[in-house]
Amino acid sequence: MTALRRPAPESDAHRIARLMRSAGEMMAPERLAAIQPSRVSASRALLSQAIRGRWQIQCKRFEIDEKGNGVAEYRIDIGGWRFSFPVYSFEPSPHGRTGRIIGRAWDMMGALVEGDMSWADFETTRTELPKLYEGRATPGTLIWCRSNRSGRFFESARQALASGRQPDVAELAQTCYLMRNTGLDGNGTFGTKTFLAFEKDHPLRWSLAAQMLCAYMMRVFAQDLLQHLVRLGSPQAPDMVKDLRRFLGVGNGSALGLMLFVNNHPRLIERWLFIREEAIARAKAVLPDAEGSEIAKLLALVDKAITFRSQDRAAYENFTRSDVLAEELQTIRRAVADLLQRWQAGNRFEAEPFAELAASLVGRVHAEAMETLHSLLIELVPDEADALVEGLVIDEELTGRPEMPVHRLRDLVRNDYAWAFNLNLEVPAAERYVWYKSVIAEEPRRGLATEVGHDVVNLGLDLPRLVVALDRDLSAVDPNLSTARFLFAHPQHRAIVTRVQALAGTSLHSPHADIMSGSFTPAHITRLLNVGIHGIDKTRDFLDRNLRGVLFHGAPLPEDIASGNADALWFYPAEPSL
Amino acid sequence: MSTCQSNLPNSMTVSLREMRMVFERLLQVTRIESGLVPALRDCAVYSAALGLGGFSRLTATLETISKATPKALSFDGSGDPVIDCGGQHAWLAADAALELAVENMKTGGSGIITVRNAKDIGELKVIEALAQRFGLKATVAVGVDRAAIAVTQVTDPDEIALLDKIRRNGVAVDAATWWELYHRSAEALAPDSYLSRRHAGPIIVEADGKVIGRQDEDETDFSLLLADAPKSAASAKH
Repeated sequence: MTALRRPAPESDAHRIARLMRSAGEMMAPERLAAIQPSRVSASRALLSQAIRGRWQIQCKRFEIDEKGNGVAEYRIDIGGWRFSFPVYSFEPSPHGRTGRIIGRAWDMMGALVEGDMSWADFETTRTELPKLYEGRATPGTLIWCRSNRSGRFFESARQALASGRQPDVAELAQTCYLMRNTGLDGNGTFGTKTFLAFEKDHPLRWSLAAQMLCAYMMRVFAQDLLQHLVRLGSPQAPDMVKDLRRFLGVGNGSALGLMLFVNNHPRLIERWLFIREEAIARAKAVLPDAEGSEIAKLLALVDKAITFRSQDRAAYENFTRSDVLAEELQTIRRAVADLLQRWQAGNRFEAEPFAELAASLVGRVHAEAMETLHSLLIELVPDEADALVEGLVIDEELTGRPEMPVHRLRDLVRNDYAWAFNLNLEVPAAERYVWYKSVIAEEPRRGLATEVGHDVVNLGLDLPRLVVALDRDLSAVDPNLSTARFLFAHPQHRAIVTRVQALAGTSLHSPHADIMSGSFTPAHITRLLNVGIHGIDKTRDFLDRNLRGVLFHGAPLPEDIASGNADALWFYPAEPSL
Repeated sequence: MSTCQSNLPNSMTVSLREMRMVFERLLQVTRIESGLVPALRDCAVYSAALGLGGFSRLTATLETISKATPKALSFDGSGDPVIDCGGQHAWLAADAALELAVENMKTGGSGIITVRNAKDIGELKVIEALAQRFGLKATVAVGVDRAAIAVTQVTDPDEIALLDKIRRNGVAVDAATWWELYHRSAEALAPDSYLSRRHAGPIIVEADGKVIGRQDEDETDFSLLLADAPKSAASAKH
């Protein structure tokens, strides 16, 4: 039996659009939170680029004493581009220590800098970095970063190696990292280079690439530091085995600030969600070869995901447990295995078997399991996915349309923000929340308005109330009036009108939520960023607002990447058996 | 390579992002309507980039804006279009004037508008930068008590390249001026307190030391969270 043919030819663009989901299906916070890491997640995309380009990462010097004080310097060669990664390492101190950005103690600080770093710039950075907000980066600096050791797990691994043993995998697997990122700053902050000023052939030009390379270098440093400290005390100590080194990523802590990031980066959010949907749609459109090798690849990836979830030792509060998801993935596995069997037997009923597969599972499995399938499908179109990511060079400048008639503006408001009119915005004042930043380290915080007080500047974008208020005033004026004249009479609407007009025609830029309400869960949006966009695994939730997880979990080591022997499907690593 | 330089003795270069952050916070402190803040912030950015009063007269401008009545502006479009600012600061009229000129040009008009009775009327020069976002060129002729704004098509891409130039090179500023503004902008941030610290973080520590939340990955120095804790703290929602 052969695949059914459609009666009329269909353009590629139409087919892809038909297979993509709508904003209404995607933009509720809990749905955004279900999105899983994939090839288009920034950390994975960076590694794909590194593997393809056989990036060279070399340690130039490592001068750190047994207490952890000293410096190190790495060199990264990417084609014709060279970058430096200077590290300033410190003895861990319990005083002023916390994973929050209000912390005052860091175990390492580093920078990602273009070119070879001069001695003067290395020393200037050593002085300026600890000043943070009052420090100034040297020319060519892309990112400043800082991280802390995971004290218990770092020490446990150190003691094991020092006594001639490999570290306890079961213990390390509780978090899967030795050090955790506590800050990555760039794009003009502290005088760093503005991302949109990156040259057209700059390898880190696409969104989040520079931050992700910096995070990868923190992982490299953490492992080198561990081995170095072990060797200082025990020269005969063994190396940590490579499988365990690959298993360990770099930790990440994120919190409320990412909601403000989403508010301020609507185009990045929209473009990223769009390319993910496009990649999924392109995968759904793949027609397997006669042997069904694409289906077999998907089956192997689902098996990998099941093993990964089954072995997950992390503790979660409100997020779905991994053993539950492993069971849900078994349902998907059965469907994929059935498809493979039918395909290989020649029973090919579907014109778009992967689209049919996905459609048959909607509503039957947990949303996170479904999004795992979607993420794995993207591996069927790796080259297309990689190209989509590298196109993520995004300008967030928003420009309005002064000549647009009010009736057209009102159409946009009513159509693009229909979700806002369906929310209950009559939240009692006593239950309203305020998003603000503390004077201490500019930490983003969220508290009840009654606790925060009226003098505090609310930094949250109250999108639904803004569009409803705008609509109310638009409805009261001549529909043929221009936007320019409307804004002249109603200047208070200038920011929201500009946003509505600038984002018109796109639909995936803003979560459909009242973020000022007590019913909103901040961790949902943090999770979209951390899991979906950054590609962080095993994100544990704390008090519905903080997340901790692991980046580059299973990622190739620098020597794997340089030698060309890196596993392109490195994600979802199984626990090493030592 | 970036030309964004680190500190020189008396001068420094700040990025677009840094300027926007500081100017936005300073404007938030004035309590001007929040819907006007991004537009006024960019007036400050371009004023600074063009060497107008964005840095040097900012303190006085913010004082004026803190007492502003944006709706005091009036528009007469019955003949040649004219905006009367009613004594308000020029930045409050800048976007409105530009938009009315753009609308006028795109609907077959001359693209010319007059602004009068604006405080610090020379600051209307920022319109020459603001117009570039529309891919248009604006010329602002400033007189004693009025300014004529003319919007036209661009003939050379360099005429709309200011934003890219700022992104590449930043803007030079007297270091003392910058740091004074930077520190003052912190007034838009909330004071720190025991209660406020409970509004973020993976754990909450009660005044009596009881911990709310999991500590399986936490190495927090509790003294950071407990400073100024009341002896009998009331529980707050998080």
